[in-house]
Amino acid sequence: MAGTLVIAEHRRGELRQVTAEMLTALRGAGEALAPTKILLVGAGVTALADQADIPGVDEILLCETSAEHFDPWSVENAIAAVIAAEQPRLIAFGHTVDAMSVAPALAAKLGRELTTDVTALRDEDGAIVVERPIYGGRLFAELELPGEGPIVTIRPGQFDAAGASAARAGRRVVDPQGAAESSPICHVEFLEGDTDQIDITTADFLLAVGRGIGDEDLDRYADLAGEIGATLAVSRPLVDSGQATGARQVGQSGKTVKPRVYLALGISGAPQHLAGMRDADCIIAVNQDPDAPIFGVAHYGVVGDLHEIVDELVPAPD
Amino acid sequence: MRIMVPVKSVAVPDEEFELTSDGLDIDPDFLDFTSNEWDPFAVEQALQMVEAAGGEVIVVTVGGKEAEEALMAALAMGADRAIRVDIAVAGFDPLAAARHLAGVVAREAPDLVLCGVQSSDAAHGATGVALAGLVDYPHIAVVKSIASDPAGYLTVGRELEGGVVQQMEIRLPAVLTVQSGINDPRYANLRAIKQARGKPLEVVDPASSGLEGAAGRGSGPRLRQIYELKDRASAEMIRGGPREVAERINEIIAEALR
Ligand SMILES: Cc1cc2nc3c(=O)[nH]c(=O)nc-3n(C[C@H](O)[C@H](O)[C@H](O)COP(=O)(O)OP(=O)(O)OC[C@H]3O[C@@H](n4cnc5c(N)ncnc54)[C@H](O)[C@@H]3O)c2cc1C
Repeated sequence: MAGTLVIAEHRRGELRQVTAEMLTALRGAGEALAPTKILLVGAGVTALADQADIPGVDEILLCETSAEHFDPWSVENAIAAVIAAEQPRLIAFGHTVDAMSVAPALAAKLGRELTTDVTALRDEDGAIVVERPIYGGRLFAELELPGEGPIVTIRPGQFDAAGASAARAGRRVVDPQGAAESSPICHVEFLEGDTDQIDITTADFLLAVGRGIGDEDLDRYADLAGEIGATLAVSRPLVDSGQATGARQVGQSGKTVKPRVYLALGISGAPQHLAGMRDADCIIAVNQDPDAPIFGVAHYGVVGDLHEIVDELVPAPD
Repeated sequence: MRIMVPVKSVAVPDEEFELTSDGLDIDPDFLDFTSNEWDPFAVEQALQMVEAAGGEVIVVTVGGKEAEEALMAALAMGADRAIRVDIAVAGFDPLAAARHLAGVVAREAPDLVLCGVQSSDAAHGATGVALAGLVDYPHIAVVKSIASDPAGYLTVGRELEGGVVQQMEIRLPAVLTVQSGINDPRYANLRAIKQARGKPLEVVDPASSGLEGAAGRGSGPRLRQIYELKDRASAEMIRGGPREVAERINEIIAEALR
C-alpha cells in the first residue's frame, strides 16, 4: 500500500477544476502520500490525458470504457478494479455530485473507511489526518483515518487549482471491468439550467439573502437591492420554496459569482453556497449566529439581527 | 411498488453552546432534534409515487428513541409504517447507518429506496449510496426529478454543478438520493399527526432480530479533536448598535466599489 489514487473528474470533454485542486491538497500533504496516480475513466479519456498532466501527478492511468458520459455503475466498477490492482494507501475524489454517486458505494463494497467534504489533509507520522465540518459547519472535526486505503472526498474550492505542468507524467492504459451491456443505468441527455434574463454573474454589487430573512417577503429585499444599487441574489432554499428563480441562486448548483461586494444577509454559509461566492473581492456577512460558517470566508462580519440593520443601509455611490 | 425512505432526526446546536468536558462533542444539553431538511422531500416523492402506482411507503431510521421524531413526522405526512433500528451510530462513520439499513432492505426487499441527499448535521452525503453498495442496488445521487418508465425502469434527472441536469434511466430495484426542491412537501395537519400515532412503528434490536445488517469491517474515522470555526474565522467583526454597524457597512461598500 503506497501512494494516492486521485479520481479525476471530467464532464463533456473537460477536466473539472476540482481535480487540480486535489493535487494542491496532496502536494501540501507532502511526500508521505506520494506518488500520485491520477485515474481517468470513460469513453475518450485518452484525449484528456494532457489536461490531467498537473503538477504533482506521477502517473496518468487511462481507463477507456464505452460510457460516453458519467454513470455511477461503469465508473464504480472501473475504479474498484484499479484500486485492487494498484493498492493505493489513499483514494481521493472531489466532494462533487459525481463522487456522491460513487464514493460511498465503493467504500461500502470494498470495506474501506470513508470521510467526505474534507477541508484539510495531512500525514502525521504515518497516520492520515483530515478535517471536516460537523453540525452544519459550525464546528470542525479532526479525524484520523484508520485501515487500509481509506477514501476521502475533498471540498471543491478549498484549495487553489494547481497550474499546468511542464513535466510529462507517464501514461498507462488500464483495463475497464464489467460489461457495458448489462449496465442498469444509462445516460439519456443533458438539460441546461435556467436560462433566465437576469445575469447575477456580471453584477459588481450583490445583495444576497438567505433563509434568515424568515417569513418576510422577498419583494422587500428586491426593493432594498434597488434602493442601494445592488442586484438581488439568493441562497438555495428561496429557490426551492419558489420565491426566487434559479437564475438568482448562488452556489454549487446555481451561479458562481465574483462581484466586488457580496453582502450576505441571513445566509449560514453551507459549503455548496460558499462554492459560488468565496472568491468575491469583499464579502460582508450579517448573521445572528456567531458560529455561522459564512464568517469563515467573509472579510467583514456582523453578529446580529439583519432586520435591525437593513433599514439603515444607504445607496452605494455610482 | 414498495418504497423505503430512510429518515433521520438531526441534532441542531443552540446558538450558544458548550462542549462536553473532554472537548470532543457538544454538550447534549445544548442540542435540539429536528427532522433532516432533505427528508420531507424524499417522503413526499415516495407518497406521490405510491399514490400514482399503488404500494406502500415504509420509513426507517437508525437510532435511539429521539430518532422517532423523524419517523412520526413521516407517518403524519402519510407513510404507511415505520421501523426504528434501535442502535446509536457513531457520528463520524458515514457508513454506520447504512450497515443497519442494509439489514432492513434485506428483509423488506423494497423496489425503491429514496434517501435525502444528505443530513443537515453530519452532511456526509453518503448514507443512501453506501446502502446501495452494501445491498448491490443500482444508485444515483442528487436526483431532482423522477418519472416512472414502464417495465421496471425510472427516468431520473441528476442535478449537476451549475444547475445542469443529466437525464438518466435506471433499472429497479434502485436507490436514489433526493435533492431539496424536487417537490413541495405536504404539511401534516393536526388530524394526520394524531393518526400517525396509531400507525405501526416497529422497534427492532439489531442484535436479536437477525437484522445485524452488513458486517462492518471498519470502526470509522477516529475523532482526535474538534474546534470552533470562530477560532479561525478570517472576518473582521464589526461591533456596535444597528445604526453604527450599518454606517460602517455603507462605508465598506462605498470603499470597495470605488
Ligand atoms: C448537492 C447540493 C447542492 C446545493 N447547492 C446549493 C447552492 O447552489 N446554493 C445554496 O445556497 N445552497 C445549496 N445547497 C444547500 C445548502 O446545503 C444549504 O442548505 C443552503 O445553502 C442553506 O441556505 P441558507 O444559508 O439560506 O439557510 P440556513 O442554512 O438555514 O441559514 C440561515 C441563516 O440565517 C441566520 N439567521 C436567521 N435569522 C436571522 C436574523 N434575523 N438575522 C441574521 N441572521 C439570521 C441563521 O443563523 C442561519 O445561519 C446545496 C445542497 C446540496 C446537497
